[in-house]
Amino acid sequence: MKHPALNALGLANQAAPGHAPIPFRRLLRVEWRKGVDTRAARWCLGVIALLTCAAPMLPLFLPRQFEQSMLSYLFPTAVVLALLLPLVSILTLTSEWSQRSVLVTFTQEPRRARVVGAKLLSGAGLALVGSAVALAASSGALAISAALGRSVVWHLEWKYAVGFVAFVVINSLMGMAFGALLLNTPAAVVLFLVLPTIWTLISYGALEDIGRWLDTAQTFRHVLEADWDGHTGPIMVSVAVWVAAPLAFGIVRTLRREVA
Amino acid sequence: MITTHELCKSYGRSPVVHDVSFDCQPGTITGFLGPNGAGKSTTLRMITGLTRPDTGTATIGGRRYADLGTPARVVGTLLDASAMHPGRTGRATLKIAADLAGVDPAEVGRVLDQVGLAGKAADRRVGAYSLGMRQRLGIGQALIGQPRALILDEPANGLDPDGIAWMRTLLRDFADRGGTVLLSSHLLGEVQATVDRLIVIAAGRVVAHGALDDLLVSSGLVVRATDTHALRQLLNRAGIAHHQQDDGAVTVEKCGGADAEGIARMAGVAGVLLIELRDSDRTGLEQLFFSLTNNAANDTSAAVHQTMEVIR
Repeated sequence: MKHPALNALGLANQAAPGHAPIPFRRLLRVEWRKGVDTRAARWCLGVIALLTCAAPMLPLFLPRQFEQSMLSYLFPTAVVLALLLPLVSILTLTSEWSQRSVLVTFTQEPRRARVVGAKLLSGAGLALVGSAVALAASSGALAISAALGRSVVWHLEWKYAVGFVAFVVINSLMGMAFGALLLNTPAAVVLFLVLPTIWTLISYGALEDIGRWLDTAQTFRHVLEADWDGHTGPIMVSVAVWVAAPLAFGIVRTLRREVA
Repeated sequence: MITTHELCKSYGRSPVVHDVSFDCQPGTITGFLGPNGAGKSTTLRMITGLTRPDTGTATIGGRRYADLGTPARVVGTLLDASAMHPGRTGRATLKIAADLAGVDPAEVGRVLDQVGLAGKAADRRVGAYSLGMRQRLGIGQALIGQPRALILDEPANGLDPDGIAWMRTLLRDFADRGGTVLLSSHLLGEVQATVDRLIVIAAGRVVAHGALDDLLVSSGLVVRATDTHALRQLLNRAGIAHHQQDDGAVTVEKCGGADAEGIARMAGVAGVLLIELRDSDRTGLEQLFFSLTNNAANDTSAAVHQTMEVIR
């Protein structure tokens, strides 16, 4: 359809504009920007970065209680990141529904699964950046410790580094899975924080055997401590139940849900 | 360009949209009119793939919305100006839209200028915007992909008279360059001044669909004579239905075969002196709107069909 007026607009020159799907990297870039460019997100990320940098102060100021090693400096940052980063990542999946900007997002890209995929990947990327910040903060604190004349262990075994990053990423993914499933910020945040804890609390007595498989306080700790031997099964089951399943249901729900 | 074919949608048992078929051609602005809850927004959301129709299809340039690779390049949409993240600036909002549409980032500045949000306003957070400014930003978001069609839900909402005039010029320009515009509105005056074609929907059904000029055609004659009594006797004898107005004028329905020339001849022969003989004013859009939508609201599809006959 080469309408003369379109030629005047220069529109007919673009070979069938709009036919090519939006490249995934573009979606990823946009979702990343959306995750970090609002005022609320910047505040949250700023506070998390601050706390991540503050966390290694614990072993630095308490040299008697903590080993002066890279690993023991990293652990406190893992707790901060695993608890707080998922909250930001939950927001990337839920806030568009409460702000109703999904109306715009899903008209810009009607293949909703791709949008969710970009959000997940961007959240995982944020977890990686968080891990890098944690590593830098821990190194800095350890350098101060060494400067104070303490004997420090710089060496970090590969498996511990991998375990640390995996722990941070899995927690973020779990948060996003809850966000995708509930599509509601308060519900997702509360359940993300409360449900695993409740599970930990009731994992005694008759439930103890099941708890070993599903209690994330135990299984994810094995991930963090790179203590995989003999725990691979429970780790996989925990990830399947707390991350993969809610994510799968969440994606289906997002695809079907009416945007009003 | 924008075509719907027998779109139907029910929520539970209540049908919200029933058999809605229409099409919008390049170079025209089509107004989509109806009372609140008539199914306007639901229809627009079905066209843009946000709501799945129970039956029927909607296409843009022959393809379903979901099959458009980069929809923003084909059809710009503004479905709800308040559905924007309040924590982002106007400029950041447009940057995201430009990036997704795959257009030059320099477009952002140009479009901000075009929608009257250049300067300080561009770097304020959307949360601090008035509704009118959000509408402008939303229109900018719709325009940024340089689409060939626009779908706008209540774009005039919250705009001041200046803003409405600006939007009218912008849409007219867009259509004159071969673009297709579909806009919904409940501001009747605004619609009458902006659109060339009209779709009226009531209780989920299309009750009128056509060119604005055809729909608002005048339906009668106004006749005034020095001797009203004699004029009415004359009309009675000729069997022409008429009605006397309070101000002494007599209105005659055209459908009875009466036309201005015939009445003038009759009056001349009978020696009745006419002092006014003209087409009655065009039916106002408001009048048309109420006559169409009230009937439909009283439901009984018979009334709807009757109305449609009148329109034809």
